[in-house]
Amino acid sequence: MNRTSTRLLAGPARAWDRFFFAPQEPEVLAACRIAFFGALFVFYLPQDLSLWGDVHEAFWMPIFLFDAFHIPVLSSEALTVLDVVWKGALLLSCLGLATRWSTWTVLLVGVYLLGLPHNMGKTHHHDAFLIFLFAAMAFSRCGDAWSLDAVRRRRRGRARPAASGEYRWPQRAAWVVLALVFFAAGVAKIKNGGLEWVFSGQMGRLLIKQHYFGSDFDPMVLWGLWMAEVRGLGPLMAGATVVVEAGYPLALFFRRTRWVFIPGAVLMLVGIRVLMGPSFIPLVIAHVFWIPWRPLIARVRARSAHSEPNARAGVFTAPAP
Amino acid sequence: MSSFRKRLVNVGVVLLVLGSSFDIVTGREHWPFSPYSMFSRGERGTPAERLLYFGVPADTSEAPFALMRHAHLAPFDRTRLSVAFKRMDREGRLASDAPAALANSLERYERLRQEGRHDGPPLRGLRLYRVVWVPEPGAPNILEPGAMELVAFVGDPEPLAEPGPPPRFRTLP
Repeated sequence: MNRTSTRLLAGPARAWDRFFFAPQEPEVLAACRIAFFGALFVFYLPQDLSLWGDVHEAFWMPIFLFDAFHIPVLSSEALTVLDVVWKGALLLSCLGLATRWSTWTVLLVGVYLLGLPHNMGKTHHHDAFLIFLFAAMAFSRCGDAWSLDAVRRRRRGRARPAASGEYRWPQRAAWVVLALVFFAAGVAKIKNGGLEWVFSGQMGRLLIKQHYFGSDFDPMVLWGLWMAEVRGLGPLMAGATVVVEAGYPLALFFRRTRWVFIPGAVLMLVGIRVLMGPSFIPLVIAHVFWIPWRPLIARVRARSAHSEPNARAGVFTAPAP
Repeated sequence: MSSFRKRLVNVGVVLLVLGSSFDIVTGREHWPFSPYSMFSRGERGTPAERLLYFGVPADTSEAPFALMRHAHLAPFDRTRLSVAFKRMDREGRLASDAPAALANSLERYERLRQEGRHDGPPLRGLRLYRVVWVPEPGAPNILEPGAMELVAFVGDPEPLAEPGPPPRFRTLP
């Protein structure tokens, strides 16, 4: 590589290194771990994934992953065991007990359990991205703080881990995953629908059509039927949708845009559920990785240090720049 | 953080971006990668066509009703079921495979009902209808579809014995 190209790449390489690997305290990733796995445990607990074991083979239309690797449908009994193991692993990952084992179990068993339903005729889009988040957390050291593992380590006299890039990259990887999901959705609308998708009354037609049992859940209210009739509202909503989705990756690079795109995306997902029916709860849950944990933790610690002046001072004494 | 682990993370992120980009550009699904093309296609003038289960109650005084709730269709939901049957239709095996699929669904419905996992009424049969609506502003015709075509049935000989008009579209409260 010549000196010119080396110099050209040096800037982006440094920016990449800062973005993913600048040192961060372990508590931030721990907060993400607790919120992410805890919420998923609550979400998946009532679902019986073992019922897929007795679905008739007429419904078997394997997706690429299952077809390429000849992954079969296990029996209901085996799926019951996997279901219990997986949900147990979600809980243990939240608590941070045997974190390395539990997060890897969430990943490996999750690939099978979450992938299996998509072989039965239709690929839903509310949970595929979870596999990438599971992979990031499995490879990470997310159990180093605020975990039962950390309590055991402290009892053995091990020091609290220092700030490290190990505690930043999983959170940043989650940001990239979410950015790719929304960007893909925005690009699909532009590619498949173009400007007509925004300006042709498409949104109004969608809002009406979803009331004809168009998704796995009914709209929660009838407002969509009224909104479809309000002149100009449909194109406004459609335009906002495309902007939020296609523009989401800007939040990776420009801190101030996060206040627009992240709440905008979450509100959009809530709006979809309320007005149209489809539920993207796992996608909402995944946004815990965007919560500004560092200043929140600093404020909580500052308050507890103020109320207990003799308490050991924490690391989070000021909000991040 | 070791340089080896940094390199591992970098490779992982690059593969994530490349895999996602491939599906975004090609518009094809390679789960867990996806182009996320939901709602991206035009809806101009297209009717709402659904392939829906209708349960035939064991109580012969009750009319057939559309199975809409996830608890009645578990582990399916109505969208996945409808799309699955549409795919069978495109693959030319709807007529041959639908009866066995319906029998499997009916058996599971009854088993879950007896286990107390849902509160649906006992069924003596299951029908698969192709139901078509022309969406209208305000959706006044939700319970009056434009067309209902019987596609397959199990456990219930009446559709053949009485080839009259399809049942009134109704769901459970």
